[in-house]
Amino acid sequence: MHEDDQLMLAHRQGDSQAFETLVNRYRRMVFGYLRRMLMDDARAEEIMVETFYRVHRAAAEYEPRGQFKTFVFRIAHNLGLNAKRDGARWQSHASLDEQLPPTPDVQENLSAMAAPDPEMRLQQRQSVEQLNRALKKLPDVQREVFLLYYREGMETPEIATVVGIPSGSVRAYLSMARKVLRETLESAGVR
Amino acid sequence: MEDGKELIPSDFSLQDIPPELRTPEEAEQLANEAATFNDDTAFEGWLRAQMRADAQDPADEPGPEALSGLFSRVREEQRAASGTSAPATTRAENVVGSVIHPEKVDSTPTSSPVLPSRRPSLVKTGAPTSASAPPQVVAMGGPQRSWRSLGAVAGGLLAACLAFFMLRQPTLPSDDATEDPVRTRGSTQGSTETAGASIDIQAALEHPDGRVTPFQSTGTLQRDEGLLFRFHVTVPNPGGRLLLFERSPRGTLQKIYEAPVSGTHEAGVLGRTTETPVPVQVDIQDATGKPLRYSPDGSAGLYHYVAVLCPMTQRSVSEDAPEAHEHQPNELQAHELQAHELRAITSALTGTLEKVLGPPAHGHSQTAVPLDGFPSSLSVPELQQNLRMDVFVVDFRPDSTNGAQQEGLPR
Repeated sequence: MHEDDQLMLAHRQGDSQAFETLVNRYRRMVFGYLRRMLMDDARAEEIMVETFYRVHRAAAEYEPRGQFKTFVFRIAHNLGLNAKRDGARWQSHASLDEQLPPTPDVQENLSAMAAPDPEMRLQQRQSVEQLNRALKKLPDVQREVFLLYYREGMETPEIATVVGIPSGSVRAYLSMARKVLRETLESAGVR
Repeated sequence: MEDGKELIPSDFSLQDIPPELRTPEEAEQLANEAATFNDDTAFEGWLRAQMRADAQDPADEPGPEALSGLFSRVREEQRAASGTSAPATTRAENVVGSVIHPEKVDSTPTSSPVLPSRRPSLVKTGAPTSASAPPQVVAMGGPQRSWRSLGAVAGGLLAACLAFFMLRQPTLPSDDATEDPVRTRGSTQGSTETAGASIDIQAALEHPDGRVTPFQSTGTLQRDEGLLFRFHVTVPNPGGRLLLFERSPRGTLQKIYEAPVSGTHEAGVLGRTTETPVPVQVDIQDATGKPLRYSPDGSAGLYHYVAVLCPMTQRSVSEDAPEAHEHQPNELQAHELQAHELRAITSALTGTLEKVLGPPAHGHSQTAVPLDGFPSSLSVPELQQNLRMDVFVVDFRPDSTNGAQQEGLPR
C-alpha cells in the first residue's frame, strides 16, 4: 500500500501524527500551487489550511488507491477556484494606486536582483521570473494544467481528475500553453 | 588542494564531460544552454529546468504558524471522537472560546466601557427610512475580560483599528427611493491611539465610458458597469494600513484592497468581474425591472463591506511574531500585513460579522477552522476589546423593513 494511504488510514484510526506527517509532506506543494493560482499569498495560505482540514474531514470516506496526491490537489483546486471566483471581480483602481510608491518588499527584490549573485544563479532567477510572468498571461485552466504537469509532475489522467476535465482536454491545454508561452517568451527576447 | 578547487581547471565546462558520463541534469543543462526555442525538445527541457528551479522558491514554504491551528483542531476533534477530553490549556481557542458569550448587538446603550482609557465603540444601527436621514447611533460597551491567550496572538497584531461595516442590501425599486449616494464617514474620538483618525468611504458606479457617478442604492447596475469604492483617510502620526474586506452571501470573507496610509490617503478599489458574462454586483434590477441579484457563485446578493484602518504606530510585538522586534514602526507600516496577521483579522471579522449582521444568506461562514488559536467568533465588544478596534456599523438601506424581510436580517 502506498505510504500516503497508510498515513491516511492511520489518521482515520486516530493517529494525529500521521495527519501532520501528511500535511508536512504536501503543504509546500499545495501552497505553491495555490499561490500561483490565486496570486495572493495570504489567500493561498487560508485555502491551503482549508484544504487540509477538508482532507481530515474526508478521511473516513477516503479510499486507499494510491491517489492521495490527486485527492488533495483536487480539493485544493476546487477551493482555489471558489476563492478565485469570489475575488475575480476586484481590482485596484489603477489611476489612484499608480501614485503609490513601491513597497520596500518590491524594492528589496529589485535590490536582490541587482546584487552581485553568481551569474548563473541570476540568469536562472531571471528566467524563472520571465516564465512566471508569461504564465500569468495564460488562461486560468491552461496555467493550472501547466503547473500540475510541469511543477507537480502529474500525469495527464491525474490532472484530468484534479481539474475535472477529460484527459484529451488536458493534452490540448498543455499544447496550447506551450505554444503561447513559447511565443510570449520569444517576443520578450528570452531566446 | 584542500577544497579540491585546483582539481578543476578554470576553463572547465560541461562540454568536457563525455556524453556517456553526463548526469541527466548536466545533459539537460547543456541542451538548455545550446538550444533555441526553435527546437521543441530544447524548449521542453528549458521549461522543465525553469519549473524545477521555481519549485525551490522559498516563498512556497508556508509560515510555520499557518498550520498550527489546524493541527490543534484536528487533535481536538480526534480526542472528542475517541471520547478523551483534552487538557484545558492545550488549545488557545479552548481557553478563549470558553469565555465568549453569545452577545448580540443591542440597541440599548450600555454604560461600562471595556477599558477605562477607551471609549465604547459606536455602532450605527437601524436603517433610516431614507438614506439621507442620519443613522441611529448607539454606544456599545463590553464586559471586562481577561484574554491573555488571545492577546498573545492578536494584541500585538492590531494596535488600533477602525472598522466601518458597510451593509448593502438587495432592494427592489421603490418610488420613494433615495437619490443620495452610498457614502459614510466617521472619525475616532477621545484619548485612544486612533484619536483623530477619520475615514470617508464613498461607493460609486463606473460606467463603460469611464464616467463615475455616485452609486444609487436603488439604481440599475448594468453588466458592464463597475462598483467603485473611494477612500479618503486621515490618520494621525505615521499611519498604518487600510484594508477593505467583502463578505459574500456564502459567508466568504476576502480582502479586496490593502494599501499603506499615512497622513491623508486617497485611493479606490473597483469591483468588476473578469469573467464573462459579466454582471457585477447586481443586487438590484436589470433594464426590464427584473431583479438580477447576481453574485459570481449564483447566490443572492447580500454583500457586506468592512473597511479596517490599522495604525501601526502602536503595534506591539506579539509572542508569535518575534521578528517584529527587528523592525521599526515606519518599516512595518509599509509592509503588507503578514499572512498570520491577516488571518487573525479575517477570523475575527468573520465571526463578528455573523453576530452583528446574522448568518450569511447561503451556506455557512468560513469559521470551521479556527486559526492559530484564534477564536472564530467575537462579539463587537469582544472584537473591540481584544483587537482594540473601534467598530462602526452603517446601514445604507433606504427601506429596512422590506430588506430585512427579504434577507432575514436581524434587526
